[in-house]
Amino acid sequence: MVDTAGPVFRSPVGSTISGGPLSVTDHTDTSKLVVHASGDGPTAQALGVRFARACRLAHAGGPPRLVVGTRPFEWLIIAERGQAPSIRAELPDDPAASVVDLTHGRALLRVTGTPSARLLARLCNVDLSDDMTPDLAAFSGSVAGLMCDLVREDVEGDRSYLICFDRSYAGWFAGVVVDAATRLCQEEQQARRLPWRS
Amino acid sequence: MTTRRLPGAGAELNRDEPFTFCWNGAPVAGFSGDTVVSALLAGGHDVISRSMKYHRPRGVLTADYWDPNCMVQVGSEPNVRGAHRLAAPAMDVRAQNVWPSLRHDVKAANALVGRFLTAGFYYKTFMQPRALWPAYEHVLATFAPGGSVDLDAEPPRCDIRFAHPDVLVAGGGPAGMAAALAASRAGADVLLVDHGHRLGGHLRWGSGDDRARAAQLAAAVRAAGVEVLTDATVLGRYDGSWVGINQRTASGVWERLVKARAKCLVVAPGLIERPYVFAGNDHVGVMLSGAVRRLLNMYGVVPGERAVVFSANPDGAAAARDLRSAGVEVTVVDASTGVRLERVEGSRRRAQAAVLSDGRRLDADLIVTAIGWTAPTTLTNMAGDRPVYDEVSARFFPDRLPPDVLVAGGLAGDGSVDELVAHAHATGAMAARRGLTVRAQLRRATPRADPTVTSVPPDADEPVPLGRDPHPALFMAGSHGIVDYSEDVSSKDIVDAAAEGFDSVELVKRFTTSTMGPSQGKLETVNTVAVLAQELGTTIGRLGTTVWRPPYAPVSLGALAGRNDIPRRVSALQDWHDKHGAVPLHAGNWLRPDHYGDPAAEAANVRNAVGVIDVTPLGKLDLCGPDVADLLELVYVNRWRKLAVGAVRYGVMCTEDGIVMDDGVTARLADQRYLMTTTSSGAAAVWEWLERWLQQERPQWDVRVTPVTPAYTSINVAGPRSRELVAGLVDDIDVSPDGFPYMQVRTGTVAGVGDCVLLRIGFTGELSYELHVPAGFGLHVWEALLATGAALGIRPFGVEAQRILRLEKGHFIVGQDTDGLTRAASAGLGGLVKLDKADMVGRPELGWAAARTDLPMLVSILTDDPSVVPVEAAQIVEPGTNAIRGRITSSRMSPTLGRSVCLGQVDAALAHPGCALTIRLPGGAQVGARVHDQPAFVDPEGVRLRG
Repeated sequence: MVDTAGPVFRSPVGSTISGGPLSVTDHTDTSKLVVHASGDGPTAQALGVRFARACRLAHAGGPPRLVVGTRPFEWLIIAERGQAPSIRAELPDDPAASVVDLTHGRALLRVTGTPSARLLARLCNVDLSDDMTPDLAAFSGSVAGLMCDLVREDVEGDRSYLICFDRSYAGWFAGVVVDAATRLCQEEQQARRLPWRS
Repeated sequence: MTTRRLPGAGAELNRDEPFTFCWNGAPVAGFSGDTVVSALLAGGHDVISRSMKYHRPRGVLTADYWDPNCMVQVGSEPNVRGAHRLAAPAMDVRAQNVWPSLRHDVKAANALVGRFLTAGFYYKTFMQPRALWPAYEHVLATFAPGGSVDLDAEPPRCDIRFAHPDVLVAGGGPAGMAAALAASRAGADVLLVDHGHRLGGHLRWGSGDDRARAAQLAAAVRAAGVEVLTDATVLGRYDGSWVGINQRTASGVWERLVKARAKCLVVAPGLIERPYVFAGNDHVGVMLSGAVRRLLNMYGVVPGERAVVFSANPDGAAAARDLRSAGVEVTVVDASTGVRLERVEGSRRRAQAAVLSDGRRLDADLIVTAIGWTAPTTLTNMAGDRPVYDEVSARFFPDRLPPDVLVAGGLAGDGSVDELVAHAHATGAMAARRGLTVRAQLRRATPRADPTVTSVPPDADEPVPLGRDPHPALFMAGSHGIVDYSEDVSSKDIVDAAAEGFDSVELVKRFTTSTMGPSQGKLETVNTVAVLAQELGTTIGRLGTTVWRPPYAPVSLGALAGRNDIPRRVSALQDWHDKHGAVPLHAGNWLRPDHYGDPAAEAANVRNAVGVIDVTPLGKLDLCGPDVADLLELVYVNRWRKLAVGAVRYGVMCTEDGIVMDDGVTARLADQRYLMTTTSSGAAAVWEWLERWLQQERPQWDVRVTPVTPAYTSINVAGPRSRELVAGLVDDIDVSPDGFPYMQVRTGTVAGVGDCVLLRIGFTGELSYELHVPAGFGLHVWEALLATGAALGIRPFGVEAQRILRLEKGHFIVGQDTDGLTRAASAGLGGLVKLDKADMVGRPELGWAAARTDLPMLVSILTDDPSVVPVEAAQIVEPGTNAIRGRITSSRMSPTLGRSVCLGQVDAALAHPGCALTIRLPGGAQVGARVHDQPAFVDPEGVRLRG
């Protein structure tokens, strides 16, 4: 499938926020490929990450790609815009593997900031503590009622989550996340102003 | 109105912030920190409500969250706990369930017939005759208690939050705070929940020293980093250690439901003071000792001028002491002397005298009782424990608890504040150890880059068990009184129930409704059991208590519902549709363009020129692997092994019982790669269906299924000029009739966008192309189609036009023209079913159905009067008898034919061409119709489609 480098690509994500303690940014234009392969084949070996974990895979052509073990025998590769063809080409020739380009099928949001776990706790029932979901943990779960793949990928020590989900929900979903983030920030700001209620 | 506010008193008040609010339309003064009811009492408003059944005037009883007499309407919000809700400036508070006013309530006439309104009255009276039930229901509804819901008011915003604490402490009294503090200091993440507006529990309404102790503990809790939720109630404890919490004060939302998965739960709710049952115990001015102390010490309100305190414990003595300090004349009746409070006399407005068992009559406008407590074993009961009655201390205690549930405070035993705190501290440390052990186990099971071991604190000392102080078993005087204030159930009702043979407290509860009101038994359960035990000649211990179920306290439906966000799916073209006047159609979660103003004209344009429709919701699955053909052969009723690369085939899926489940086309894109399309509504179900067959039934097959519905913007280009249009936008595909014939698939570039998939199929019955375009470029291709097609007379069409067109062609829709009983043969698909295949889902049932001749059939129908369009679901009936012989499943006025066309399911005997039918319209009118001689009304030979 063609990548998103063309001039007419349009992201379905309408709402984002930035500049505060919590940012919600749109990364839908990144390349996203789903790989199905057997657990002991050359593709699995090349991807080098197990289910429920993610890793950054270095490559010569640019910034590292994020490889996510989304489900048993299934991986999601997230890379810079326009990288899908080269990723596909670089994967080993493996008759037991298939690659489907979901660049256009899935939207991608990144939620960054110290309060990001508290934001997701308003929307998702997964335990986001460091013990259960450390940096580069990957998991699937319902976020605001929508099934999503999530990856914790901290940015320069700042807590950060990637949320990958069905593109057709993107406008609605981004609105929900941004609304929840805005309310959380307001709430925490208000709590800081109020005296301790004991 | 009088002012009963003590100067300078009231630890919860901020006297620098005075305000007024409305009570039944009149202004009332209050201070920041006042509850609605404390302000009302301070202003001299003693009567807060009317009782449910007899509409007797009711005043403050407990002055806290559980007060059954203080339910009020606040604005559009009914059933607000006025003794808990903080008053606010300009708040509009009204009495509820009164008419025409709280002072003059006509429904108080019920009291005149009170002796007939005994337990079971409704069950016995309104059973017969059955025909009158609607009338009964109407009358009874006017007597329904509670406030009123304003349906026009903006619904309040609620939301949800998840938490995963190591230790959750339910109860913010001294024991709860001590447990939380110890757990936190041991390294646990702790969530402390209390339904009060501040931490402190009973210390809040105690002496100055008590309040200082509460503040000290609260400050330590804060310093330890414990997360505190005040004005929040733990609703229940569920399997898997899920604990539901209703948080009422949360910024930006009305209420919040917190779902916490607590690794260890410490239950420390304190004790709830129990009312005493005696004649006149619901007079205004009869209060519990805790109510008096709350009003005096928290809000600076003096609740009476002359008091009688009937006391069986130190709380009664403390209440008497506080009242005297406030200048109230107090007579203490010490229960240890054997004298009992027998009854209270009073007027409609207030209590006037207490009559004792020794014959004394003491004038008083305030009667205070302090006769014991109920231990709220609700949460421990939900954890599987059955509480056991302790006759020495005259209350229930938890018995056997699971390891992840611990108790502290009054639920664990008695002692001084220091002793309770010490016990709770040890309990909190133990809870931390148990919680952290679970956390360490979970951590070990979690894949991670740094598999370091989480430290678990050393073994904590077992808490030294608390003692149990002896307490007299005082429940009921020699006279009958109210047991359940919320439901107006008296001890006489319970005695009557026992006389009717109800010997189980669970049955008495349901027969009398005692304990079923907003207090949910917190004040009533033990008294109900005690009265019943006395009447049955048994003990409370033998009778036992009712099983407590969630929720611990009533919770609004809004809080349970959480966020009011309905997921919405749209295609990449939705903004364009909106800007061009599309009327939206909600189809499941999808928002689709129903039409752009004139669906008939849109349909006619497809027949005469060319139209484009956004069909993105069409389900799409990418199938890859060497065994895809086997899978298709299994799940579809027709054959698939010989489908060539580049070809498309229509298929129908049936369930194991031969019922039509879904349909669609599947295209073979490469040797081992297929693109399957499904109905829009069936996409998720079909994906699940395929995975089920692959994972459970045929795990040896190598097929990888990837849902790709949103990856493509799907556009159907339909009409006699569609080939010209598509030809103008593709570079690398030969779209000539021979180069790209009907039921073929091609991949290529459309309007400069590569990796598009084109299918030559035609749901509308016209020459058409289904374009699947990478979704990020969908709008670009759509606009290119419209621009290029302008010279060809293009216009977009919506779902309604598509439905007209497909009906003209006689194409059915799964779920619309079929139902949960329609087998393939009934839908006219008998020829498609290949019973000679080696295997397929539903094969035995399909074979059985094929042999039958009596199944209903889907047929095309024309009404005799072409202008009549029978509504969908109109019955097809037997003339004369009106026996139902079928129904219309689809109907429209055909712009192509200028007459109505229908599909319908009819009995097999009526399914032959030309058969006369009678259609019964809503309202009873009947119209004639006949079965059409072939499925399609337009182009039955398919010339246009294959052109």
